[in-house]
Amino acid sequence: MIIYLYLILIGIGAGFLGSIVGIGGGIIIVPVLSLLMKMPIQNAIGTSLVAVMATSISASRLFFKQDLTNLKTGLVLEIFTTAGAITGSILISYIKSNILFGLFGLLTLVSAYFSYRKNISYQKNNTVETACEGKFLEPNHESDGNNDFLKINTEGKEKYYDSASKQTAYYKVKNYPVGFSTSFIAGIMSGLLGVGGGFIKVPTMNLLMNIPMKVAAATSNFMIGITAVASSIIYLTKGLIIPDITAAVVVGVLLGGTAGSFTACRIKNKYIVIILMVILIIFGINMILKAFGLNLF
Amino acid sequence: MEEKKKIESKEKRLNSYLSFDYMIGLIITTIAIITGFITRNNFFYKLSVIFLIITPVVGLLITLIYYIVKRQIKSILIIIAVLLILAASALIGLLNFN
Repeated sequence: MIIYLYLILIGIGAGFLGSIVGIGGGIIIVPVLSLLMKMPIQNAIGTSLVAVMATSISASRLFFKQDLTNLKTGLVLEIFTTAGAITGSILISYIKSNILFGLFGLLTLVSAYFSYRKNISYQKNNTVETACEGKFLEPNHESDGNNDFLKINTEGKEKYYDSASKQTAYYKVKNYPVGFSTSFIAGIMSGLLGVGGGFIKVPTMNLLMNIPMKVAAATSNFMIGITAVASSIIYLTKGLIIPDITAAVVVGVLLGGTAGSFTACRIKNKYIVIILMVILIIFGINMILKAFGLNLF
Repeated sequence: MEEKKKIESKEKRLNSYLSFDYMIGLIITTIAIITGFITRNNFFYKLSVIFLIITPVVGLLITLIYYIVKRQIKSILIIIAVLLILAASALIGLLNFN
């Protein structure tokens, strides 16, 4: 029984930190389960996939209510992401555990870097305000000439209502081929490593496809759920998802995610980001070392 | 607030259907997990995972039906493509193709 309590606590931690910092819980769940709980990494990835799916469903529900999700673009990109996810799920049978540890270690380090850029570096350099504070997080849109989503000419453009600025924002989706290729890569990573892949999809949609950050985040969230479905079916039938362990982690992730979304706007997240980054770097280095047969802990 | 009301989003109704679907999915999943904790029966845990998988698929079906009613051919084809890929993943899983 105590093991379930630990798993719920792991889920709460992953959901809480994930929702505050804006990364998926998978990047925390897989290292904790595989390194600290000594679970085989394939099972940890299966568990993480279901947890990611639960987080996506929970968050998407709210984004649907706010009318932020760009369903059409999401579904077009989803064709490629789902195909990538199936490829990744099939590949997991051929890839040895130590290579998976190495890949995940690298991914963890990259994720730590992106968390830093998103939460600390941008705020310092671009003086943008976070979504919690009431405005878009729209890095570099002014400088790259890509900011035509706010123009009044609405012909052939998508729109959404921005509750912060109390105006309707217009944008036109561009560069679909870039979106297709990055979606496929994000899908492979999701199927292979059990993460959502939002840290690839959101910047691609925002910076290269001209989709506003809020819409990109909502659309990515919607996509993550469907992508995880494709991988989860394969993991489930291969017996890589252990239902009771997964259920406990899912409960924790849902509780932690809800708590995180309530507190995210009320606390200074700078220190939390730094703590999380340190944790991710330790996990990342340990996983890379484990790929070579060494262990930090 | 008034401006928000003025926006006539084509997909607002679809979004509320999807939001409802996801909410029901989450509620059923939570109930299944709690029942599993109480009864210590693995069946309920499996059920919760299956419901998590089913929820987005039902969402896709709702979207498909919505676009069929609206007769948006492009959107219908896109959703069918996604559903076919998901069916392929189910088939790969069932055949346990390694």
